[in-house]
Amino acid sequence: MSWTRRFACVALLALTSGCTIGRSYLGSPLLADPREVLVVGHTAKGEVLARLGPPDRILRQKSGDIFVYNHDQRNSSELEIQEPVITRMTIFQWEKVQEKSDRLMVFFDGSGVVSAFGYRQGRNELEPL
Amino acid sequence: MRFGSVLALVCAAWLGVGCVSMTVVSGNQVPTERIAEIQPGHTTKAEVLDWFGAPKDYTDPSGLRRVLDGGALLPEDVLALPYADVLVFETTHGRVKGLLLILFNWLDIHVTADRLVVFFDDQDRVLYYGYRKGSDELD
Repeated sequence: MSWTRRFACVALLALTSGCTIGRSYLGSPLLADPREVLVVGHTAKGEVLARLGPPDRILRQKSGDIFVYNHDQRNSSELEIQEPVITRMTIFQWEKVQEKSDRLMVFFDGSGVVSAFGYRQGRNELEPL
Repeated sequence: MRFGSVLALVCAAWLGVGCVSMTVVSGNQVPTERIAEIQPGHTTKAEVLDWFGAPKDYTDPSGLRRVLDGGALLPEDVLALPYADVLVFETTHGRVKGLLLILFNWLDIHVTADRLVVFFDDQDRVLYYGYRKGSDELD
């Protein structure tokens, strides 16, 4: 095959297909392991703020506040092949999107002491691609 | 002829390569030098407002923030409802890096916030506060 033909093949391939890998992160990781910081019935709101920082969301209830901490990650991979010249029609498309969160929810009683908390490290469930 | 083809291929590859680097800052800067001066039980709400200005919940969000909100790139507001006993001061930072090649594209997006949350008692004195400089993680 001549160089001209090889170049034409490469150019055609370049115009017709593309692969995109994206990573997006929203929020910050927790400053400490909440299972080591939070003790139900003992830890006060001030200590939670000092050790874990300000929450991403505060929900207010009659029985006490709720702090929500989130660290979201979105992994996306995409492969697309198009007819490049006439129709630009998509011949093949493959896309995989995963959205996972490390999420902590801390419940306080009326006096500002932790009454319960839930923690899930969802980002560990992300697959490589 | 062979040299010409190779040159054309290199030129085509060169034209097909792109790089993206973007930094977005939304919201007023939180003056960090004042944070150490906050003393629970002593500092008043008036002092906090004097040091840090109007809190986020009472400032008009910029057009950029509205666009990012619409694209679900930003988190929801920290406080569901504006209560007088909690003030939130926040600056949102976004960083986008990307490599755009002919056959392969790579994008990396980070959105984080510098955030100060201050709780007050019924005497309008600081009860407790929390601060985090999320933008440090972008460096």
